[in-house]
Amino acid sequence: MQSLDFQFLALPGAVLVFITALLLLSVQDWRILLAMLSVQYIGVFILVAIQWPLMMALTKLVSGWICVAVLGMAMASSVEASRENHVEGIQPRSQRISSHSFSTSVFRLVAAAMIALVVLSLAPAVSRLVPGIQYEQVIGALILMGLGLLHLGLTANTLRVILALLTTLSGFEIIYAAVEVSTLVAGLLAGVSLGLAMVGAYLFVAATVKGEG
Amino acid sequence: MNAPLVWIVLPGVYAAILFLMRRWGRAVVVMGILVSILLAWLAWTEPIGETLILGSLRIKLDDTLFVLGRRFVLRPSDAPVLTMIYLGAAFWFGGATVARAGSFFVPIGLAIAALLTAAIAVEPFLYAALLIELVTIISIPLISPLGRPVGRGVLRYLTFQTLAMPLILFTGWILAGVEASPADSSLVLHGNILLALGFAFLLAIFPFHTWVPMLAAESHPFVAAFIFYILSLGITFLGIGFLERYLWLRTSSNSYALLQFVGMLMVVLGGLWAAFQVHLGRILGYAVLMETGLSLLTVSIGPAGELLPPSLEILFSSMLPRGLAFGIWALALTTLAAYGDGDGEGETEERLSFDRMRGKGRKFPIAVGLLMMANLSLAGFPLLAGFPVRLALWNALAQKSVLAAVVALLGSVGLLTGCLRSLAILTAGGDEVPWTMTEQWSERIMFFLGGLALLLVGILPQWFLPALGRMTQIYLSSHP
Repeated sequence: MQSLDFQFLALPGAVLVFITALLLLSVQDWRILLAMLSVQYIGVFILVAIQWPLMMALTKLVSGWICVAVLGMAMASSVEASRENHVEGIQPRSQRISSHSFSTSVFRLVAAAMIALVVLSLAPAVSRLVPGIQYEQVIGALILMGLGLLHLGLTANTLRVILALLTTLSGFEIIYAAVEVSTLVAGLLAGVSLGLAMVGAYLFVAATVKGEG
Repeated sequence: MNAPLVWIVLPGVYAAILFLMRRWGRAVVVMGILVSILLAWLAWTEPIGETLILGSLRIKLDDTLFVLGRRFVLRPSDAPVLTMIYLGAAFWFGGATVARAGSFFVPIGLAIAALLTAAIAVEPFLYAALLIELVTIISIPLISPLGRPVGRGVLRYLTFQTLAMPLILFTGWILAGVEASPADSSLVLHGNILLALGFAFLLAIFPFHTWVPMLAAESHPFVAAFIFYILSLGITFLGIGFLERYLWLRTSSNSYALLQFVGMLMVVLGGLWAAFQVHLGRILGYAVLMETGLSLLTVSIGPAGELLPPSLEILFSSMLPRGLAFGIWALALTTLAAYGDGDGEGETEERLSFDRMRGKGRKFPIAVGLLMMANLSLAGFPLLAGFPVRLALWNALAQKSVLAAVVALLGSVGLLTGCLRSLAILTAGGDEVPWTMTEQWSERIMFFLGGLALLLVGILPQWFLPALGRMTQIYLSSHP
C-alpha cells in the first residue's frame, strides 16, 4: 500500500480540482455543490498522496467526505425544518441556495478564467520556492486557493462561504503537504476542516430553530 | 502527571462535562468560575517542574506532554500567562449570569481557555495558528446563538481568522528557510509579506478590520467583548512567540518601524471611527481596534535588540485594565440592550443604535454611568484603571517618537468624543422625564463591583500593577 505511486495521476488530479472548483462557483443546487466538493476531495487526495504516505493522505479524503456528509445532513434537515417551522422574517430554504442570472454565471466564469491565468503565471515561481513539489500539484493548489478566494469574495451565503473556505484550505494543504509531514498537523488540519463543516452545519440549523434561551 | 495535562486536558474535559450539564445554568457558571480560579491559583503557587505535595501524596509536575510525535510544553516561566488566562476566564464567567450570556458561554469559554493554553504550549509554536483557528471555530455558537439568522460579521470573522491560519503556517516554513540562508533577500521578503498578512487577518488590522465593529453590533455584547479580549490575548502570545523564535525579526529595526506605523494607523482609525459612530456596540468595536493599535505601538517601542523588548511589561500590565473596561462596558451594553425598550425581544444590532437609546440613561443611570466609566478608562482618563498604564505608554512613546505619542493621544480624544456623544444621547430628554433606576439588583451589584475595581486600579495602581510587572519579569526570565 505504501509503495503506490500517485505521480502519474498528478495531471488528472489537477484537472479534477479545477473542474470541481469551477462548478462550485457556478452551480446553485446545494446537492450538486456538495457532490462536487466530495469529488474535489478525491483530487486533493491524489495531489497530497504524491508527497505523503498513503495512509496519511487518506485522512484528507476521509475528513473531506465526512465534511460533505455533515454539511449534507445539516442542509437536508435545515431545508426540511425551514419548511415545517417557518420562522417569521426568514425565507424557507429551497434546494437552490442562490439564484444567479445568466450574466452572473458568465461573469464568474470569466473571473475564474482570469484566476487560472494568474495561477499559470505564478506557478513556476511557487514550484521554485517549494522544493520537491510537482508542477501539477502547484497548479492544483493555486487553482483551489484562487477560486476559493474568488468564491469568498462573491458571496455572503453561509454554505458557499464554508465551501469556499474548505476549497481554499484544501489548496493550502496540498502545498503544505510538500513541506511538512507531521501526524499532529495532519490531525489538526483535518480537525479544522471538520470544525468548519460543523460550524457550517450549526449555522444552517441555528437560523431555523428556536433558541435555548 | 504533567503541566499540559493539568492546564490543557483537564479544563478541556471539564468544559465538555459542563457542556453536557448546561441546563443547570447557575451551577455551571459557579463550577466554571471555581475551576478557573483553581487553575489560576495552581499556576501562581505551584511551580511547574517541582514536586506537588498533597498530604501524603507527592506528585511531580513535569512540563512536557507528547502527542503524536510533537510536544506540548508548559515551562515555569509560562505560569504568569496561565494565571492571566484562567483568572481572565473566571472574571468573564463571573458576569455571565447577569449578562445572560447563554448556556454555551461557560463551557465554550473554558474550552477556549484550554485551547489558548495549548496554543502557548505547542512546539513547534507555529502550530498555535491551528489551535487559534480551532478557538475561532468553537466560538461561533457563542456569537451566533440558536434561533438567530447568521450575521455578516460572523461570516467575516470566520473567514478572516481561517485565512490567517495558512499564512502563518506557511510563514513558519519560509522563516525556517530564512534562518538557514539569511542572505536570501527574496525569501526574507516573501516571509515578511506572509507574516504581515497573517497577523493583519488575525488582529483585524485595517483593511481586514470590518468584522470587529460588525460583530460588536450584531452579537451579544458581553460574548463579543469576551471573544475580542481572549482572542487578542492568544494572538499576542503568538506574536511574542515569533519575536522570541526569530532573532532577525527582533533585531530588525524595520519590523519595529512597521509595527509603529500599523499601530498608529489603527489608533487613529479606531479613535476617529469611534468618534463618529451612532451605535453603542460599534463604538465598543472601534475601541477594540484602538486597543489593538495601542498594543502594536507598545511592542514597537522596542528597542530592537537581542532580547525581547522591555516594553512588553506595559503590554502585560495593560491586560488587567483592558479586561476590566471591556467587561464592564459589555455588561452595561447588555443591560441597555435587554431592557432598552421594555420587551426583551429584537435584534441587538438595532437596539443599541443612538435612535433607540435616546434618553435611556434616565431609566438606567447606573448602567450608563458604568458604560461611561469603562469608555473613559479605555480612553486613558485620570483616576480610572486605564490611566496608569496609558500614562506609561504615552511617556515611553514620547521618548521614542513624538508623532506616535501624539497619535496615541488623538486616538484617546476620538474615543472620548464617542463617549461624550453617547452620554449626550443617553441622557437626552426634557426635565419632565423622571430619573428612575430600572436595573435589577444583581446588575447593580455587578456594576458596583466593576466601578469599584475601575476606581481602585486607577487610584491605587501600586496595589495591582507591580504584580503584573513581576509576572512579565518571570515570563521574560526564561525567554531571550
